[in-house]
Amino acid sequence: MLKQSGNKAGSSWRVLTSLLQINRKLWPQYVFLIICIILAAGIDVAGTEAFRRMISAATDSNMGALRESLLLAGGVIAGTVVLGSCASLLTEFVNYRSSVHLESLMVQKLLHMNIASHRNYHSGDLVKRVSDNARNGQIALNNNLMDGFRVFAVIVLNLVYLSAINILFTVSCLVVALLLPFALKYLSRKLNVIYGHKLDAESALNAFTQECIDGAEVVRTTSLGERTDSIFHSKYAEFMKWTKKGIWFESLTNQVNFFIRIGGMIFIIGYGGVLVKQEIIGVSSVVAFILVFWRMLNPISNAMVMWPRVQNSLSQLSRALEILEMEEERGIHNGNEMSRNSSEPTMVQFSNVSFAYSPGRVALDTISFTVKAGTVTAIVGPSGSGKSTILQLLLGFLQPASGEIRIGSALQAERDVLQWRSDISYISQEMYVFSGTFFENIALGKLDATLTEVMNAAQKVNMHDMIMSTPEGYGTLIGEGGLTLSGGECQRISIARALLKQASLFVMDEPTSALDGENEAAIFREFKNMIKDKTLIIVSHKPLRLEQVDQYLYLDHGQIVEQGTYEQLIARKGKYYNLLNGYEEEHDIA
Amino acid sequence: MKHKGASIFLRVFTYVKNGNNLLLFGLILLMVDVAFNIGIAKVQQSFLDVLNQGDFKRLSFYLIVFSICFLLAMLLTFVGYFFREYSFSMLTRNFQFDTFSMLNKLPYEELKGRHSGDLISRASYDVQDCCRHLKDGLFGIFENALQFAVALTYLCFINFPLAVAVAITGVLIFFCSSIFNPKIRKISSEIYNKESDIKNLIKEMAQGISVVKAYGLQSYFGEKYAKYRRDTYRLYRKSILTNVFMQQLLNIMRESVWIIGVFLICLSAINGEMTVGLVLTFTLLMSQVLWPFVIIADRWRTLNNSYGSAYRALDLAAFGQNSQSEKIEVTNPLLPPAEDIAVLLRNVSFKPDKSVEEPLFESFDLEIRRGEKVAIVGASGSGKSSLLKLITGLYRHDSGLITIFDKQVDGTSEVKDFYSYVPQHNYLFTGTISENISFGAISFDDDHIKRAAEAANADEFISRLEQGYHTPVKEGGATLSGGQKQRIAIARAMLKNAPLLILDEATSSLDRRNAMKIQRLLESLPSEITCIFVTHSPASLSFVDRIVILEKGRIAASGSLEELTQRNLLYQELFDSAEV
Repeated sequence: MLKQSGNKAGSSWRVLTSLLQINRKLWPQYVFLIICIILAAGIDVAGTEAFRRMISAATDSNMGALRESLLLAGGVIAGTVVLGSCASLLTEFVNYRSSVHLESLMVQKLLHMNIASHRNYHSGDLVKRVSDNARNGQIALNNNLMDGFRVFAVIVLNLVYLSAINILFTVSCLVVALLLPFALKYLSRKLNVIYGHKLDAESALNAFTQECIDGAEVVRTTSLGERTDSIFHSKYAEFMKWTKKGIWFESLTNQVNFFIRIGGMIFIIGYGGVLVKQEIIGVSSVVAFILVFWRMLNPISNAMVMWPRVQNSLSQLSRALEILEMEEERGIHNGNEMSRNSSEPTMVQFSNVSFAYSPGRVALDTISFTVKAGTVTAIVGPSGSGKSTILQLLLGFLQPASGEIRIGSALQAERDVLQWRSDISYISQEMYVFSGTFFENIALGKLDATLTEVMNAAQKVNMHDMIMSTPEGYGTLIGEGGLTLSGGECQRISIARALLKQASLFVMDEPTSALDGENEAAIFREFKNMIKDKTLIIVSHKPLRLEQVDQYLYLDHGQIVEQGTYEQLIARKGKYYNLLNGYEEEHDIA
Repeated sequence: MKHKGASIFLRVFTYVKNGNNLLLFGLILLMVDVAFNIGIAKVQQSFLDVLNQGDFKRLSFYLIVFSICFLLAMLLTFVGYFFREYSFSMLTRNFQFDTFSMLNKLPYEELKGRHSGDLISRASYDVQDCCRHLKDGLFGIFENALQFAVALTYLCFINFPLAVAVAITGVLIFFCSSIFNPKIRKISSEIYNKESDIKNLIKEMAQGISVVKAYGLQSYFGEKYAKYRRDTYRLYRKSILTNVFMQQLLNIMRESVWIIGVFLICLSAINGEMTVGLVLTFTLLMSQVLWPFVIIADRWRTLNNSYGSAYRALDLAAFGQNSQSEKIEVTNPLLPPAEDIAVLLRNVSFKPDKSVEEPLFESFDLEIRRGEKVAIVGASGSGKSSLLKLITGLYRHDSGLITIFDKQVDGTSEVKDFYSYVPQHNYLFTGTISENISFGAISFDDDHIKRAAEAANADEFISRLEQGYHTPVKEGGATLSGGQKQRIAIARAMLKNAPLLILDEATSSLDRRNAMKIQRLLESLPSEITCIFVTHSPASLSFVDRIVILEKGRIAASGSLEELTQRNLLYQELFDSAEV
């Protein structure tokens, strides 16, 4: 999935056209910018003409003509400055707008894409594609494309100017100039592939750096960095390999450019010499040709360096567009105000739900169960039994291959996914805390929450006192770069957030994994009190034995193998009983 | 400021190491480029003279000689370019190796207190950025300065006063652009900060996506992003206006001087002081005297813009070194080595958050004998995990003495060989399962790995996987369950086979079946292995020699299971603390 597929040179046009489509709104600015650029090139030719007139005035010793041409030159400077300012301002404006537009589209995509597709990418890679590849790629592409127009205009206008002197000579100069794209075709294709590999190697490097930061505890206690260094070095060797190849071909591209530049000049003098000998043109015309050809050399050589760069930016952008093409979750995206559901407890029903991560890897096999309104259901089972899959299906992160899921009377397949989720308060296993204040983190559960509401929620999870003891109370920053919280504290924040949401259904993923030194029964009793008589589904790998649980589902290999109340399961003396018994025995020893 | 910038680049420059010769050759070959650029002006003049004289035989002879020179120059510039670029990619590599290894040597507390996005951009983007700018700046300035010098000298021979006037204007252009530099630098550093905030926001969105979705926070985060972007728009506008103003000012100066120069030469040609051929040469050389200054000014700006990234990258490297040398105050003299003590904490003080007055541990003492199995229990916030992190050296104590087998814990290497640590939050690296188990081990083979996995009860599930030990692990072990990750982490510790085993809630994310197996593994540890673990599961206390109950950073009670049960302390601690 991370590998780039297919021939990128061939997809360049496709990338380009989809980007044009994305930047529809900026078309007038782009057009105006192009006009500025073409006019500036025209002024440039006028500058050459002014220069030619000065020289001819000098050869003719015509003082009046020299003064006139000085006036023309002054006009050229004024025009250059005015048009140049317009072009620069527009360029920068368009660069910022288009790149930020693409980035914000990608941010939206990131927020709305299917979690299933999200998981196919390393999160570091995703971030790089969104914030680095998209923006820098778009800016580079704009610059290169506008340079392209500039180059095109300069070449065309100068050729028109030269044609006025001698058409045949001009055409043969053009033929020399046209050697460039031919030489370039092969080199750019090569470079394109190399740049793609280089980018992949670079993101592998960054992903590894990110891992070393995330796994800092492991790195610091297992090795002294020799091992991480050596892995990094071997990953870097791959990057270096492509860098070296890239330099080689860049250098070759430069040389081709150099060859055409000077070779062209030799050609003009040689061919011009022949023409002078045949007295078709005068020596002064050769001078003019050399001058204009020199004026054109820079744009042409720019085009040489620019085309590989366009390819490079397109290969960056195709990494970004790959994300934009990801499937989105069904439902509304612009966050339109939706009717809130009542927070009355509701029932949850799975009927004949199946799911497979990939063909042959069945995670859930025709599961059916009902959670009655206001009751507590615990889904237990060993790791990999399909517990989390049930949760992901319930949250709409995954879509069932077959079967139906209902909350109350609402059928999941028929409802907007955002609206569907508004019925659920989810307490994740990871207890993700975002950078921001305590207040902001809790208020994520209800965005228009007042401080009092947030404080109430914090009080319910016993975090209020802790929060008030920090220097800035609810305004204290937490998350990355802020105050570090313990696992238990993060979970409490996450429960407070869920409480604030006031949904009809609570879903809790591995509630006890982050808690230490605290009895899960006590925590749970407390939690049950907080949510009152709401419907609750708990997923746990432990054989929770809690008085409040009305129904247990024991899952194994994607199937519900046992189902019932605690008493029923005990009476059955099945898997749950065995699991619990093993636990009880040890408990007694303790 | 300029001096500081120069010294910073000098430090970056030392990373070129073995690429030194390549770089030197590359620089020497840059002279070929310059010579060719200047020579072209002279060559054209001679061609025109020959043309004017109508000597076509000499013209073809000149053309052949020039073509040969040209091919030679092409070869040399090709090699030169390759040398220059390659030596700089070597410099980048060496620099990046260094920042990467410094990143891993950064003290744990320091690392946790920083944005990981910031660290990554320092360790990779900043390094590459500053190296690229340094390369462009260095070569650009060198080539253009050389070109300027040669062209100016030549120009002086043709018309001295005019040459001096052109040179002065070049210098003026240069100074004019350097006036704007500080202003531009200030805005770009503001932009950089804002951009890194945005990057961090995007990173959190990507990582916390399940919470974002479950709470329907898409539009909340979408708007937060949009607000940040509105802020950057203002900054960019300011930056764009300043930049364009400066560029156009330079343009006016350059163009006016060029046109006035041409006018003056033409005037002298009319007065009969020059030929038309010389006018052409002079104008070509004049642009070569004016242009280098503009380019140098531009490259100078590039260098200045990259100063920030060079500084950030070097700061990371420097920080690692500084904190390594920071000494821990030892209040007690070293005790005579005690044979049977595995872990010793004497008079240890530790403040987890330096801004908070109250230390977590104060004059904390703890001794653990060799072979002793010790369980640490206590409510959350009592300091259990912190205690383990102090012993492992992840946290650095403020004062006092901590030793493991008589070796002082002070962030040096040798202590780490004596313990295996299984953290509470396990982290797996991208790679195979086998690579993850062997991460950190010095010598091992496949058999060792398998045995370690068996000991950690991981072999069972690993063998069932299609690719067995070579199954790839995705980011953070996303494809594995919590229990599987935990078992791999324990296998990692088993493979290291250190005399001291430290586990932080080793069984918290395991299901009962697996937890019991790990439990048995701990029970059956050889008697010479010392083991310390934090737990909240009463079941795992059955076999330990000693239980230490922590309460707000001090030992509330300590003793065997029987003693504590008799004193009725243990259950109170384990169960009642949670009854809020």
